[in-house]
Amino acid sequence: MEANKDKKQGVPLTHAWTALLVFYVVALALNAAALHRNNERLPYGPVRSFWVAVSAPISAVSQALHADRPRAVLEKTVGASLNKN
Amino acid sequence: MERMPSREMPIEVGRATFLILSGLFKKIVVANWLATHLADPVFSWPEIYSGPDILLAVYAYAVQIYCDFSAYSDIAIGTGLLMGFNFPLNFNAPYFASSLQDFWRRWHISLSTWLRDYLYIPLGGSRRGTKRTYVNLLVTFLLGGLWHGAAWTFVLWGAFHGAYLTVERIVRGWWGGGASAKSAPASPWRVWLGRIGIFHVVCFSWILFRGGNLDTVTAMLQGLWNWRSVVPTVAFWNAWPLAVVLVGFAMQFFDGDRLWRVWHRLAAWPSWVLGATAAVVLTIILALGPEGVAPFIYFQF
Repeated sequence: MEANKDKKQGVPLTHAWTALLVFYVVALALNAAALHRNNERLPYGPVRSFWVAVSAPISAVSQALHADRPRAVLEKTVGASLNKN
Repeated sequence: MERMPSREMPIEVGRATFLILSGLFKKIVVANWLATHLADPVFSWPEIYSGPDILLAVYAYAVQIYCDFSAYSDIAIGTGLLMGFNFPLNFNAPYFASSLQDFWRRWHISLSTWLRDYLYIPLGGSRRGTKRTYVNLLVTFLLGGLWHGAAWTFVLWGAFHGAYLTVERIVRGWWGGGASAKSAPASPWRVWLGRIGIFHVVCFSWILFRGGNLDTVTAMLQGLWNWRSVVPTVAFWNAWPLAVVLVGFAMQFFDGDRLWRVWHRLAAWPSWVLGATAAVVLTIILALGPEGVAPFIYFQF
């Protein structure tokens, strides 16, 4: 059994890229609304305008699919209780 | 020479995912919470807090600096793994060390190895007699302290570690320095007493490290003996602070290759399941973290 410890359990690069791609898509869907809120808080200027324009449609899709709900519920329950001053 | 990653090279995706997510949890949830709710307020105004609260804030800072800096290392190592680079370990459960020498084999391993190879050994290491070894230790740690910044508190921190390591060496020479004693395993209670003792020695040194100036360090040390707080409503010893300190401390069980079975299991999952699970875990971490994230402590060094 100890021999297994040293043996690296790698996966081919294509599998790693697939995992990464799925990760980005799901993470974006679940966090798009929060990301959009953060972008809206950026200082006014071309950078803010660009990122707000990018995140607004993604956030709209996420909200239409209710994908933003799990994070919102967690933030309002455990997150708020943990981070209250 | 380091081999460049190629398309054929297997990627340790299980270990990489685990390191990145545990690093994000340590930084976003634990280190930020401990900084904003415990360590920063107490180190800013130690005069108004009671001894037990100052003690908890010192424990909190010990856990915060471990979670912050090991998170930084874990995220870097994990990201490197995804690109096919395997960087060495930087933390290995440092607060489980049973001596200060052992602590420096587990804490910021890249710095301690650098100090050993490029300062301690060129100065002569332990090859030039006992007294010269002690001088070399002190010089190495004084310079190690100064590496963190030009402040007397960092000099004191380095001097304290150098002096303690020297005393530890002398005591080990008196009590159990013989070759036969080295081979005999220490009893469990002695190991645990050593661990608890060294954790508190390191905590004391963190007061010097975090204090920023000698006035704060003095106020912290004096405040430890005040039973009552100036503000009676302020009390940190309740459920959330204790839970976060304990969770942060327990994160050391994830260091090194203690959880290699978990990495192997994660690597065996289908790619899309692994990616989706990592995204869900990230969302939980972000939801638990406070608004905005403080920069890593080690960005300033």
